[in-house]
Amino acid sequence: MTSRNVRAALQVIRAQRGRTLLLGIPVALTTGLALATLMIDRGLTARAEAAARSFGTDVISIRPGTRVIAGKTGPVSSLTEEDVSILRARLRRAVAVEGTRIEDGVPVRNGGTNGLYRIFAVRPPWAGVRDFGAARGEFLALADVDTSARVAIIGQTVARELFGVSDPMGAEILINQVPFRVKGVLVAKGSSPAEGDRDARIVIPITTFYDRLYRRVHLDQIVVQAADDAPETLAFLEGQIQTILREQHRLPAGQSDDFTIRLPETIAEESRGLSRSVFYLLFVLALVGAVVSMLIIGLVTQQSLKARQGEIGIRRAIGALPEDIHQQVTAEGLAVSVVGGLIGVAAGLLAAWPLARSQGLGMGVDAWVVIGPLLLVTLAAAAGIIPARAAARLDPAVALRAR
Amino acid sequence: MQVELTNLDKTYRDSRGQPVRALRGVTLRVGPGEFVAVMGSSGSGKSTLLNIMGLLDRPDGGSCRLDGDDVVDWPESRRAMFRNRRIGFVFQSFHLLPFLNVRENVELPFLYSRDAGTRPGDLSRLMASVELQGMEYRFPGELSGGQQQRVAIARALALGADLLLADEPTGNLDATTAEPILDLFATLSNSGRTVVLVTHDPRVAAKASRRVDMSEGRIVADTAAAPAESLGGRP
Repeated sequence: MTSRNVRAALQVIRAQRGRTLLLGIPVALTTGLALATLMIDRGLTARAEAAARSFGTDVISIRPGTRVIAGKTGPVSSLTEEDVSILRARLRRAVAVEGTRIEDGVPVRNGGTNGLYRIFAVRPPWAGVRDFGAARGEFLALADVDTSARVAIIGQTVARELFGVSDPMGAEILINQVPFRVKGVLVAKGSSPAEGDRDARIVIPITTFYDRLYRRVHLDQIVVQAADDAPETLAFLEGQIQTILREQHRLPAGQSDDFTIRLPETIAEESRGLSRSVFYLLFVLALVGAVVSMLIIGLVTQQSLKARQGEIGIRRAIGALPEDIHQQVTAEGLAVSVVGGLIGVAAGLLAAWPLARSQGLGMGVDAWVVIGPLLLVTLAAAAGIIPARAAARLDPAVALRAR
Repeated sequence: MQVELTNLDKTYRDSRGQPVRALRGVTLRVGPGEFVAVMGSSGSGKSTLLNIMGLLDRPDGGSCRLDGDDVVDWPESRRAMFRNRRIGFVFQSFHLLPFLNVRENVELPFLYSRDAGTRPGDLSRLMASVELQGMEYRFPGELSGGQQQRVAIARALALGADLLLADEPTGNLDATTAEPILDLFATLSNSGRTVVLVTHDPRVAAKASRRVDMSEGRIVADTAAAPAESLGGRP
């Protein structure tokens, strides 16, 4: 595209600022929508991936199923230690299977300070599966499980809230009125959309939970660590787990599972906060907008060129080649698209930022956030090519007859 | 510029696809510095003749020589360059770009000049020659019809064209305004430029030094014009 044709296009654009802005509006709307959608989607995806990573990209979670009793949905006490043993024995391509008992909102007290925390009752290998070792002190030992020891590894939030600046190591705390000795402090894990504040938890031996706190036989979760995090490995394990547990629970064909298997991708999707399909819908809407923009720009340009035949004729008469006309009209379309695109980018940022902040959604930027709007602007600019071609083919003698 | 048209034929298809013979074996020679008026009723072929002479159209048969070169088969790029440097056009409806001021309209041919050395220099002499001093930054909409046509003439002369082709240049002007425009063409002709003017008005044609009459695609008369009467005598 030569500078003279860009100059000619800019002269036209300068003269028709209103038309340029008007034509730019659909491009701006489309680009803004695409940009806001992509940025929020990237933010949610990053958050979801972080949630999946924090849970473990090679970890499959099995939870009891739910059933509706008297109009209320509640868990089915379907998972047992026996399930863990069977899975350990039969699962292939799994390196660990650990059962846990979990109790939420358990009162915990240190002297006059108290709080409600989530108790995780586990065996020592659980720390490896969930990557949840001790930052200070020690994690649980097998002897602690064998002896139902009243020892606890507390999370960072628990340590801060119950002990402030004091050292919690070796201190005695009351969990549901039962005294426990603080054996260690868990590594900091921060918050996760899937699990909330993961530092507001206390880990105790699984046997102690049963013997000293709650005489509950069933398990609240079984975690299975896969040999690797390849999607096919996880899918293979999911199939095996389902088959084994259905056999184990003697579920007849046709009856739904009494357990729920959650793969890392399920955890990621749940952690997004907003369904991905909403974003696909918005992005499809942006694409439809792009097509509409193309049509509007194409048709309006074609129509305006009919009114500009005299201009095209005189340009040809004084030495413009057909390609000069083609380039000029294309540059005009490009300018409209770029102006619309820039307005759209500004509008998209202005819309996405407060929306993401107010809804706690987060925003992210990657190559697609740049490529997406750029693609839409390019599509809109391409809409000018067909009228440009027609204008370039115009017979100058015929064009000059136009009034 | 010397213009030699020999045995030109041109057939168009009308909107119904029917062939219309616009030119039938037209032969015409116009010498440098001549001021020729081509007369004829609508559909006589005079505008087609002008378009072929101005390299805006190509004949189906015959030759068109400008300063001795047969230009019919020149590629479009060479024809465009020739139009840019050597031919100036003036039209009934002026064809000024409304969004450009007078100066920008006059400078428009420089935009399409392929000669890197061509730059719009001091246009004041040109503007003065067409009596447009002080109007450089006005827009066409702010000018009278006569002034607009003067801008079109200045644009036609901006790169020093030596063939001026005018298609009904006074068609949109009243008699008082048209007179000085025609005088301007005569002056340009006297300064050595070849001027070919198409009109259907015999009093306009009378301003030229030679009159060529066309009818149904043929030249039916080619005469030296009678002494010009004032256009002010028009009803």
